[in-house]
Amino acid sequence: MDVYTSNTSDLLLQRSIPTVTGFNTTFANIGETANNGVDISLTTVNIKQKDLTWTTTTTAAWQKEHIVTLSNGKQNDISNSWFIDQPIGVIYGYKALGLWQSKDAGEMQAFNANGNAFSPGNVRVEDVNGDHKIDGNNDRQIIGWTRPRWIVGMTNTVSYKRLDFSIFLYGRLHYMYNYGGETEPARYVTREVNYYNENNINAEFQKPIFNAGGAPLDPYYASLGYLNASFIKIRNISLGYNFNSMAKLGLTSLRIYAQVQNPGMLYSQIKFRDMDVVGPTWNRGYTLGINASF
Amino acid sequence: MNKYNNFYKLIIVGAVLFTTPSCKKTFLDEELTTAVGNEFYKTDPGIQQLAVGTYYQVFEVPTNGEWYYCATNYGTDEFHIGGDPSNSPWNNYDPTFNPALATSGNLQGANNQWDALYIGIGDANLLIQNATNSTSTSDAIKKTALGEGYFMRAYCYLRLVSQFGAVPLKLSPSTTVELEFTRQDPKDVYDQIVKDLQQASNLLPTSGGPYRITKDAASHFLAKAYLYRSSEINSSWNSSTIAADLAAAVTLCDGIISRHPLASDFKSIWNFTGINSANETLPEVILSAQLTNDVTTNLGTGNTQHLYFVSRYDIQDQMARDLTGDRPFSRLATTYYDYRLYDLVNDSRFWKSFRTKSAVNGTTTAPNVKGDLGIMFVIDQPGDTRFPLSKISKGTIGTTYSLVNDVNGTGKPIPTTYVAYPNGRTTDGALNTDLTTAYQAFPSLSKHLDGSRNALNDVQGHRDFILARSAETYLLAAEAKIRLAKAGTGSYADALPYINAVRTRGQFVNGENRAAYNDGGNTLLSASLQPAGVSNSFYPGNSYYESNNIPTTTAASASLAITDFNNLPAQDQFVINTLGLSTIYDKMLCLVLDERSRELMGEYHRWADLSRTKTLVSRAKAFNVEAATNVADKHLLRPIPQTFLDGIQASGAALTAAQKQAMQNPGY
Repeated sequence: MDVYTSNTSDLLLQRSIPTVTGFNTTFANIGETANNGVDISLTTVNIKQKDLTWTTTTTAAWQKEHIVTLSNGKQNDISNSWFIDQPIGVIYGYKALGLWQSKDAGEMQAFNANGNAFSPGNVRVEDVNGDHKIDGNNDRQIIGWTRPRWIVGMTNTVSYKRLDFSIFLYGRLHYMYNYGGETEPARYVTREVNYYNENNINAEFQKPIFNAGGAPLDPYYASLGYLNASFIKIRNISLGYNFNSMAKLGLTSLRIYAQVQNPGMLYSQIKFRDMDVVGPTWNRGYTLGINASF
Repeated sequence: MNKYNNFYKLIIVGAVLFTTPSCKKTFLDEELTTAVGNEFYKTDPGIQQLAVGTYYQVFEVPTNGEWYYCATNYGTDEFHIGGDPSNSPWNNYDPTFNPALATSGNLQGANNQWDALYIGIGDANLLIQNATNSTSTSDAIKKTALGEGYFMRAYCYLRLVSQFGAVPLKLSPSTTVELEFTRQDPKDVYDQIVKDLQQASNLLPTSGGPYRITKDAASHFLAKAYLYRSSEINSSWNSSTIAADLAAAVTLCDGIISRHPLASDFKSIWNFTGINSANETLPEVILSAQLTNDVTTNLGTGNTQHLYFVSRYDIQDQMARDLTGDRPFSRLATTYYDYRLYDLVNDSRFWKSFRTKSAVNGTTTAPNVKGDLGIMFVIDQPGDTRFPLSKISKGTIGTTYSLVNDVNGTGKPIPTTYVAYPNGRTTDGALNTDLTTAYQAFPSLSKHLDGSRNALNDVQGHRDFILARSAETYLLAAEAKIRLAKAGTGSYADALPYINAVRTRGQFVNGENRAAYNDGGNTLLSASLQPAGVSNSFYPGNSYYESNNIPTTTAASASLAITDFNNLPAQDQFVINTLGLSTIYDKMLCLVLDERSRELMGEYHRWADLSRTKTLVSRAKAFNVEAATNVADKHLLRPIPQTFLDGIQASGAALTAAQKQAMQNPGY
């Protein structure tokens, strides 16, 4: 087990700067971060009998980092999404509260009187300062961080007589992922989306708005793309059998085995993406094998 | 052997002893030869390369992408949403058009234009600083490069102030991260623009155009800056400069006009016959962004503006996409304002600006063969009963109607005919109904079409992009005269010679074939570049006679000259009535704005013209169907990008929400 705390200063990163300077970005010492963490690695032998052994190896890493100060002092830097006392890598935007429903007509009207144009099925975002106007100056907030607090792994190995079995689990927990939301483009291949319509008002995503080109007409659709990304995945399962006494075949040993790589998720908040590889597609492999020594 | 070893050691010791001092010098001093540092910009070649880079950022970069037309052509009376509304917020002024509008896919964010212009200003500042400090005795460095720097800085600020109003003034290059910026009043920005353009005009040579900035180019933009400063949007503070500005503008314009005669035929300006063809260097062209087929100079994808004005000819019956038809991005559709604006019988400019016919070029159905007339747009007048439907094609006629025959050509049926006013209709809009279907049909503005590309869907264009031509100079002078007349100097009639010069150039001349047509699509480099089985959709004719329904004539057209400002042409009278204008000044301003449309349609001036004259709201409401419901006074200025407000500081602290709001343009 390791417990650590670290401070990093003179962190050199690319940062965006106001283009009025004539430049988009520069590399600069952006400030100071602090990092606390615990790494645990634990191996237990749960059963050890004549024919049966079961061992478990668990690793867990917990890490919490935050920005202590930036090059301009303790000032938040929205354009780079750097905020004091927050990790590097946060999602900053409008927080979705779900979808507008027709029963919210009065509330919608109050917003629409101030220049918004909400109708049932649009994304409803939080009006942080409560002035019935959604604006970038007052209503954006830190939604969450994008680096996992926990990274965990576990290997279980069971052997019974000549059979052996192992399973490897891996997971990242307690973080968020911004996948962009659903633009609902009918023209392209898309996953099945649970979208709002008159017969499905308790939908997950906003109502589609006709638009032949691509500018999503719901201004806050992206807020539905900020998701809790925690997952635990089975990365590998293997099963093997060792034959004894193969001498008459001229073999000194023979083992047959079967393996599955990436059989599936044990748990994942995001159902449509493999958050281990951060993509909608991944490899699943089956291996059947024979090890023979002559 | 041992002797040899000792001798060998001696040599090594000696070598080390004697070479150590020189090692320090030659071994440790590295000369970096692969990278260019700031020192390079102090040399003569460095300054000239800096100038080239600034030209690229300021003139060429905007032609490569979508924000340029979004900020200048969309949301006006001239153009509205074509079939593809990727950038609809810029036309529709809907609630998504706000400071936080972010770039996503094709959609242009609120900051793209801002960023590109300020980066241009940063380059120009670097150029000005290094040219100023240079001890070179070369005129090309001390004078020309410096003049170019001043010009390009002013050019960017003129665009910025006309789009955003008050903007930060940055006049020296940044060498550290600077975060504290405030917006300077338009008055200060215009003062700087005028000062820079005056310096540029004094420094720049008289020849070298249109690709290098000349004294006349600086004068043209100086006249334009004077006119912008004298416009309605600045009326709360411009009273002290207005009289001198307008008088100076007229003087400048007269000088430019004398040195840059109009091309005798409007068509020849747009007669792009191949890469770097003769039309691009006519005396009428004062300044343009040069593009060639040299891919090393067309960094990125060159001039892509040929894409955005083209309607979906390729999905119509018996049609296919081809190089001469261009790649139809279908972003900017013509409005009914455009169909009502021209004297369609006598003014050739409509027929030389728009593509109204295309040839069958796909899989044919008898009796049609490739090359037959395949699509025709009939731009008729309200009340015309000749055509029963707005779209006449196999899919729409049923058993009741029949296809229109190509009576002036093969006599065969035309697969697709579109009609502006079908079935005696007197109201606008018949052609707009198809815009929301897959058939995104409208007569395409052909000024930017480019058939000289290397492949069917290649976006890289080779056409120059005209930034100033003397027809505009005439109209700047005309507007200055109108404004002077309002202020009590001279008469409104003083504007007419300038307007008439442009109008009469647009007439058909004696012997001219009024149905003849050509455009930049007709510049196929090689027939082998076309897709297999597809021929040219370019058709060398327009729908002049089908639209106007008059007998064939080769006589000169009736004069378009306006002789009496109390008796304006019927087309302008129509606009005046639609907008409900009553004072003579408003009518004359309307005339000059109309004339700017007729002459400069789709040349990236319109939004700024309407914004500065505060006619944007009334004209967009009257003629832009999608903008009409949302456009309001706040839209006379663009939202200050949220990315800028989020990135800056005041007194060492990030801006509070209230400070950001205070810095934003009103209403956003």
